[in-house]
Order: sequence, then C-alpha cells, then structure tokens
Amino acid sequence: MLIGAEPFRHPQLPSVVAAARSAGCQRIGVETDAVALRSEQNAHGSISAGIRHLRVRILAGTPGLHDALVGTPGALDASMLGVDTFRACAASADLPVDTVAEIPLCRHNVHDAPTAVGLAVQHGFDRVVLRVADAGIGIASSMPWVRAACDTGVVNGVWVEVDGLPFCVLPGHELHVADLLRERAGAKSPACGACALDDLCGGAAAGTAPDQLSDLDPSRIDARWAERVARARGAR
Amino acid sequence: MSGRGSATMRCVLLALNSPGYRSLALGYLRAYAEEDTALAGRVGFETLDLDTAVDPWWAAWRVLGLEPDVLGVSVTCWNARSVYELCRIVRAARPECTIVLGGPEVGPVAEQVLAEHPEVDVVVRGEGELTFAALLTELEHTGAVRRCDGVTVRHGDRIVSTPDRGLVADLDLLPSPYLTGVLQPVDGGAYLETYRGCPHRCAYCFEGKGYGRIRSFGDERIKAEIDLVAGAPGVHSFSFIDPVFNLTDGRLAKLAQWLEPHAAHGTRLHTIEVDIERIDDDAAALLRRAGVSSVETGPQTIGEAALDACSRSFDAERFADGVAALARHGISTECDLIVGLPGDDVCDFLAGLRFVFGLDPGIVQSSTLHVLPGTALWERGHEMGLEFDREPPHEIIATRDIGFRDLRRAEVLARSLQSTYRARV
Repeated sequence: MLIGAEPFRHPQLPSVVAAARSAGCQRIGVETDAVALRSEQNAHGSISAGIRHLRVRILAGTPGLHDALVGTPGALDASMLGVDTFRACAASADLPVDTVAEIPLCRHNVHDAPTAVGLAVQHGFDRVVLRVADAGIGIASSMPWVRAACDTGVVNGVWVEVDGLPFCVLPGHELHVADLLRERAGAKSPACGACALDDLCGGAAAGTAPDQLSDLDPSRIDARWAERVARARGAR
Repeated sequence: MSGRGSATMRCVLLALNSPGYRSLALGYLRAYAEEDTALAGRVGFETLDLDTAVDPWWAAWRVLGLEPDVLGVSVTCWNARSVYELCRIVRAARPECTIVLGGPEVGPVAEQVLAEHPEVDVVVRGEGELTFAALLTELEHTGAVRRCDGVTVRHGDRIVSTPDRGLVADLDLLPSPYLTGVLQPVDGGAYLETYRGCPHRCAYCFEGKGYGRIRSFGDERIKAEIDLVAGAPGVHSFSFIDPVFNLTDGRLAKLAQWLEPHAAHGTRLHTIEVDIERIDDDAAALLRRAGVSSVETGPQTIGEAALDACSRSFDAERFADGVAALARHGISTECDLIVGLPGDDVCDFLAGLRFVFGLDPGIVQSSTLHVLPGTALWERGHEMGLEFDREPPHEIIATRDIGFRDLRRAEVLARSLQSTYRARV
C-alpha cells in the first residue's frame, strides 16, 4: 500500500508502482483522495500499471461536512467521481479491484457515520473502515452512530470494520470489532491492561481520554465471544 | 384421461439452468426415451433449456406454445420457486397437461411436494431414465400413471408412492445424450458424467443421491464422449460433473490419456472437482496433461465439531500440499467454504478463511449453507440445532452457534475479504 500526503501528486508514482510489480508484488494499492482519478487517462493508467486497491479517506457522507473538514469546496464530489471512474475503467477491462473507504471518526463527524457508509455503498466500495481518531470522542454517545453505520453496511452488502473500539462498548456488533483477520493498527489504551480480557480484545485506542474509559465495561462482553476469540487466537 | 389412440403424445422437457448451461439430466431422459421401442413413433419430444433469470410467466409462454401433453421438469433448489410458479400457470392454462417433476429437490420429498403443490401430477423419485420412459408408456396406453415403479402420484385424493425402482446396474444401457445427438455441446457449458455416486457421505451434500455404491460408465463410451465434446466446433472448454475427478489414480491416468490430445489443441477443462488431499506432483502433472486449468475443492470447514457433524475429514498439511502441487503445475484451485454448518461458529468460519487465504490458491469462494432434501442435515437438522427455510433454496436461518444477524454479517464479511483477495495483477 502506497501512502503519503497524496501519492498521485508524486511525480515518481508510476515508476514506484512499476518497481513494485517488478519485485513481484501482486496486490498494489494506493491511499488517496481519488481526485486525480477523475481523469480517465489517470484511471486507465493506474489500472494498467497494476494498481488494484484503493483506500480513500472520507471524512463525512454529507458533502458540506466533508468539504468543511478538508477545507476544500467540492472535495467529496471530486473524490467520488474519481472512485467511480477508477471502478468503471476496471470493469471495462474486466479486472477485479478493491476499494476501501476509510472514515476517521472524531467528535465532529461521528454522527454522520451512517450517511458516510451509505455514500460508500452508493459508490460501490467493497469495505468501510471506521477508525477512531479522536481521543476525546464521546464513546457512549457515539456508539448509536457506530452501530447504525455497521448495520447500514451489512444490509447493503458492504462490510464495516471498526478499529479502535473494544468489544465492551459494542455488544451485539462484536464481529465488526474483532481483529481476528488483521493486525491492530496501533497500541491499546493502557487502561485496557487492567481488564481481565485484555489478551482477547482489541481494546480502546491508545490515546483514549481518561474520562471516556468509564464507558468501558468488560461485563458487557458476551461470554461466548470471549471463548470463541480465545480459541481462534490459540489457533493462530 | 384415456389412451391416446394414434395421435403422437407431445412431451416437453424443461430445465431452468444457471446461465450458459444445458441440462444433462434432461439429455439423459430424452436419449433413453427416444430409443425406447415402446415409445417409438408414439411420443415426440421437445427440450427447453432456459435459464433461471427467465420470468416463469415467459417460460410458461414458451411451454404452452408447444401444446404439451406431458411436461417434464428438472427441479433443483435454485429453480424450484420458479418451477412451481410455472406449473401453476401451465395447470391453469392447459389443465389436460400431465405435469411431472423430477430431480434432487423433489425426489426425496415427493409426497410433500404433491401435498403442497396441487398443480403437479407426478414426481419421479431417484434415477429418472427408466422411470420416465415407463411413465410415458403407461400414460400413452392408459391415460394415467398407476403402476409405474419409482413415482409418487395422486390416486383420487390420495397421494401414493409406488415401490422404488432399482438403480441401473449397467450404466452403458443408458444412451449417451451427446453421442445420440440429443445434447449439442456448448462452449463452457458442456458437462460429462463418467460415474454415478460419491465416495464421500458429507451430511450437507446430495452428490451421492443415495446411490450407495459407485457405478461407472464404460471406458469406450467415456472416450467417445470426450472426443465428441472436445472436438465439437466452438468448444474450447468443458467440464465433468463427477464429484471426485481423481477418484482413483488409475482412473485419473486413463482420463488424462484420453484428454491429452485435445488439451494439446488448446481445449481446457474448468472447475474439475477433486479430492485435493490426494493430489501430489504426479497427479497434478496428469491433470495438467489433461488440460485442467482449474479445480474446485473444499475444505468447506476446518472446524473440528463441524467436520465431525458433517462426516468429513480434513488434513491441513495434505490439503496445503495438494494446492501447492497444483500451483507448481499452473493449475489454480478454487477453495470452497460453507458458513452455517452445524458445529461451526463465526470464528471457525473465519479461521477457515484465514487458512485458505494463507494458501493463496487462486480463488476463494464461500457460500451459506443450504439444507437440501435427501441429505443427512435435512433429516437431522432439528436435533443438530439448525433452523432453515423449508422453502427452496432452503437457506440456513440460524444455528445453535451462529445467530441470524451474525450469519448475515459473516456472509458480507466473507465477500469483502474475497474482494480483497481477488484484486491482484
């Protein structure tokens, strides 16, 4: 995965992708705002070069909110047009691609999470990752939005993954939180170390504000999940 | 109904197939019936191979345009709802037509089908070739079906099952649908059958169809079918419906020998089903010589409880070795997993996905359990904690270990992971 401020602005991107292919990489992705992919030439060129995975950062599903958070009018529409063009080019070449919407959650956009997932569904994303990025986000007040976002994805056939939240705040949505198939992106909150289930749960993000930790309640964890996770981790 | 006298009875055979396929089952039925001397000159046949996307009302329009005296339909769990709707239409529009259903969806539950579907007259149970021909003979002579073995019929307001018909001991007595010209090979959609039955007894599967022992077609016939299908104009790939292509080493070697000349001219075999744990480099080389480009296999599950519940075995090392051997010979493996098997929870399913992704087989496919009539899971589902839809295609609703909502989540998660895996140069 090629990441950076905006890889498509890097003049050496084509040669970097070529080098990755030469080195034998089969799955090459770019973390991008996808604006550059509005151009069919860029979209076709990317796919021909071997880019098959896009990770697109979306700050909100409501255009006004996303644009305000990134500071650029029209930014969301431009990004989505880029995604649509990329996917259309791949489809015309009969090549499979994978597009992931990354939604960093903070106190300013968590209420918009279901709408953002809806936008991702509308534009054919294969997966959404809700990543808690704000240590001051109100965990208890945010959970209804996170649950709604997960459910919006499932009923529309798009998987929503939640990173940075522990099982105990999302009972009934454990599968969205479980990190059984990926490595955790960052460290856990030190408070989770005091939890009896610390070795089973992904835990709260490392920077979670202390006043939010009272929302963590291990007693809410479904005992069956604890047993399953323990068995699955033992099998790894 | 009464005997038909001198008028030829019109028999329409209908299948609603997956797009691109032709019904092999109907091909066998028609090939046998057309060579039955008792029916010669007395019954005319027309086959309609439509696909499941066709609206049943339009399928009925095609059927009724042929003015059938008998409508025989091949029923699977995938087309059953459309078939029943079509039968209701045909019954109403042409009440004199005798409607006969057969196939794995209806045979094992024949009495239930007739009880629930008054538009259906007869269900053929088990192998259909001899039974269907005998049924047509009786219909043609007497206007009714009463004495034919292997059927379930209405006698007034009663539903009666006649005695089971024994299996055909010598399969070569069944004319080949390809060699007789009944079925024309189509590129990518032609399937050959070299034996009936299955060496395994997986609780969710009806591949064996209750046949018990394995019965094979003769070598000469198989080779002739291969030569005809592989040599047909426009056919660049075909396949076999055999549940285990590598049934024995000797059999695989023979098949490879017969297929190799066609492979040398570019004809490929796609999605051959194999027992992967018995694949080594020698077997992979034979498959390559035979023109196999891809195989399909399990593990379906790697969960110990589910394996036990489904009467399956699994050796991770041998499985991985088989996939690797095939990859060394340029053959991709489609690894299949089922979510919702008894004994599996969501983590077991995810562990299975982790295992197959780790092998990098080429294709990973998952599906939700469908509890099929005639299978052990259909018989024992309740005691095993399975809640499934009694309506076709009999999808699992919940199990003792996975609730409804987590089953749906697992399906969506699996699709997402497969999308990530597939996207590669």
